[in-house]
Amino acid sequence: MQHELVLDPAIRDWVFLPLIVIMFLVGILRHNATSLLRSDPKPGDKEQVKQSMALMRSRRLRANARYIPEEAYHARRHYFSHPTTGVFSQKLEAPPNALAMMSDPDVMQNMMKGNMATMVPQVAMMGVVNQFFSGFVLVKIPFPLTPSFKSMLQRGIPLASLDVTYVTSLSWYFIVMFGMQGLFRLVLGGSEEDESALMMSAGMGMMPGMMPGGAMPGQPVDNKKNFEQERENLSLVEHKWALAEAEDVLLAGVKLAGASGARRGAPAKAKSS
Amino acid sequence: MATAISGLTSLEQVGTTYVNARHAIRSIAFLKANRLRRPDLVLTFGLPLVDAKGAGLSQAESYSAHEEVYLAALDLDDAPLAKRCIEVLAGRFPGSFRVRTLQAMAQEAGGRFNEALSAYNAILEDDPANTLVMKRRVAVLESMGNTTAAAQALVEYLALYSSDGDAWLQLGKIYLVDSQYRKAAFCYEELLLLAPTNHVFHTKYADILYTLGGPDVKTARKYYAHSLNICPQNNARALYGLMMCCQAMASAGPARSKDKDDARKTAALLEFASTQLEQMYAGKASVSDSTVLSRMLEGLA
Amino acid sequence: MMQPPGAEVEEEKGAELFAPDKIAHNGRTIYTCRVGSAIVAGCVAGILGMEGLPGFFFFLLSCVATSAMLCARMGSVSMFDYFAKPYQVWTDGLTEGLMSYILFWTLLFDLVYIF
Repeated sequence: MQHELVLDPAIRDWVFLPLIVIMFLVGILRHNATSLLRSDPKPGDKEQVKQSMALMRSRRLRANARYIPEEAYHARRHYFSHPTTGVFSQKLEAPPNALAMMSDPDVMQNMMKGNMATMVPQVAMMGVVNQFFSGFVLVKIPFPLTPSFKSMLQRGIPLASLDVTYVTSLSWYFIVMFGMQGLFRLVLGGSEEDESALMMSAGMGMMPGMMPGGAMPGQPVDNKKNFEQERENLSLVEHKWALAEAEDVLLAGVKLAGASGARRGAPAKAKSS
Repeated sequence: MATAISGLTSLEQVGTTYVNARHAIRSIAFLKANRLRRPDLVLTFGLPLVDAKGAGLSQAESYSAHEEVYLAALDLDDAPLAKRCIEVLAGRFPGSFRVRTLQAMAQEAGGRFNEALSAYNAILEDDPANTLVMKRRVAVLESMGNTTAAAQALVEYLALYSSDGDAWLQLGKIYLVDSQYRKAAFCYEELLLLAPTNHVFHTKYADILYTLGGPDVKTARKYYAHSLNICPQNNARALYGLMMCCQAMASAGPARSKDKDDARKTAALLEFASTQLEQMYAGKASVSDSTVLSRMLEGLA
Repeated sequence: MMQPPGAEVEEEKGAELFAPDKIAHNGRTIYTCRVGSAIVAGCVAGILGMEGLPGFFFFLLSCVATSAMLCARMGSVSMFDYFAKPYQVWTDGLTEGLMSYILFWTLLFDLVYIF
């Protein structure tokens, strides 16, 4: 196959291959470093848990109110939205806002550690590549790109007539970076999967059901608006008892079933009314 | 990369003998996920893992295995084995809440309830929202026979974690034992809110309403009917309940014009229930049971 | 390789009930197959010296082939038993596959032809 340019094998040995190898190793290093740096989760904040659970319970109540008798529903609604004693009417002490959170040393530390572990290696590598490996063509990409990409992919090479498919090391860096993501998940994800088989079932044994997705321990959430929203939602719900006609439904089902008066072959899982 | 072992889906696949480390881990996870309390099986699979010092296992798997074997040893009253496991865990994770909880559970298993309680309370001071410890406290109080305190502790737990269906179920049971039917009904209402398509909850709620008597019997009948709507096959309990409600309502109410409709409904439901029950028993029950049933139905009808 | 969601402790009739760890496992399996085949296909494309559009067609071909093989391996079981959305076998993980494909395509291509 004819190609316009033939590149020096030395480039291959000293830039092309080492770049891939280094990036791969750095990625693994980064992964291990993150898991080492990760600190233990703090014990949960009782008040936060209580509030998010109250919200969840109210939502559940609204969703399934039809299945409990009217008095039961009203009692619970009263519990939640009574103007003075209701759960959603209580004065919430303002949770620490973002500014105060910044000064909390633990939270800051965690945030910084997380950011550091991901950003620093990438930025550093990019800088290194730019510094040491610029100014020459490294790679021919096998697919064509529009000429407008030339300025981006051929930084530092002032040759106007050079085919777009010949690119510098920086673009090779990006190709490797994106392509490696899949590879990393393959190689490193495998080790995580075995642990999760046992630990997840251990964890499930301890969790009481699902914690609401938003507020995980460590992030205080301001629930004032949520509470007001729920109060409003509750007042909008009209309780229509789904069981009011239950006996009629049952008898009607009997009549439809057949001459022998027996329910033959009724499906094991019927949708509830 | 993870080896491709097919997931376990039934107890038969688990088997009863140790095959290899990977199968053992999967089996223990299967038992845990399906909440099967089989300490004998856990020991069969877990003991080789613990003895071999976790060869061929990742660290996390090895420690999880130690924890499971520890719990099985407590169940089977094997104190030396339990001690061995907990020492490994305590050595690796000193001061962790999970390890402290496990150590307190040893007290509980040995019947030293007061020590267990103080240990749990100490952990709760450091970690106030720890679900496992809160639940263990309830279990200890129940073992001590102190149902009032157990109910109180469970209410405190539910104030925090109101979507825990198991906890509501447990509280309901405690109230039923104490004959506090109104409170038990409340618990079952919560369960209905959590799982409205579960016919068992409808039946049990109806049982409680029927026990309360009076106007609640009407509501109970509706819940029995609904339970049968959701699950028409093999729902003998709801059929019996339906019959009892109809019986109660037929013998209680004086005939009013509005009630004629209701009386017809009651008769129809009674006939429906008895026919269903007879068919169910005809197919499956022994002759003596069927005779008992027919005698009972004669008496009611 | 694939795991059905399996028996659940709490019965909920009429509602969809998923076992999250099994779903995650199945998703990971598809992902692994996708990336693996993309890598292999990328190497092949590079060695064969494909350029441009034929190269991309080859990638799509390998995706389709992988999905088809997964389906065949699963046999006659219903997709609904194993995945949240039945067409997941065909659509999952295409982007990462593409990225890996490009990487190895470029890598092998240059190794073989340019240097």
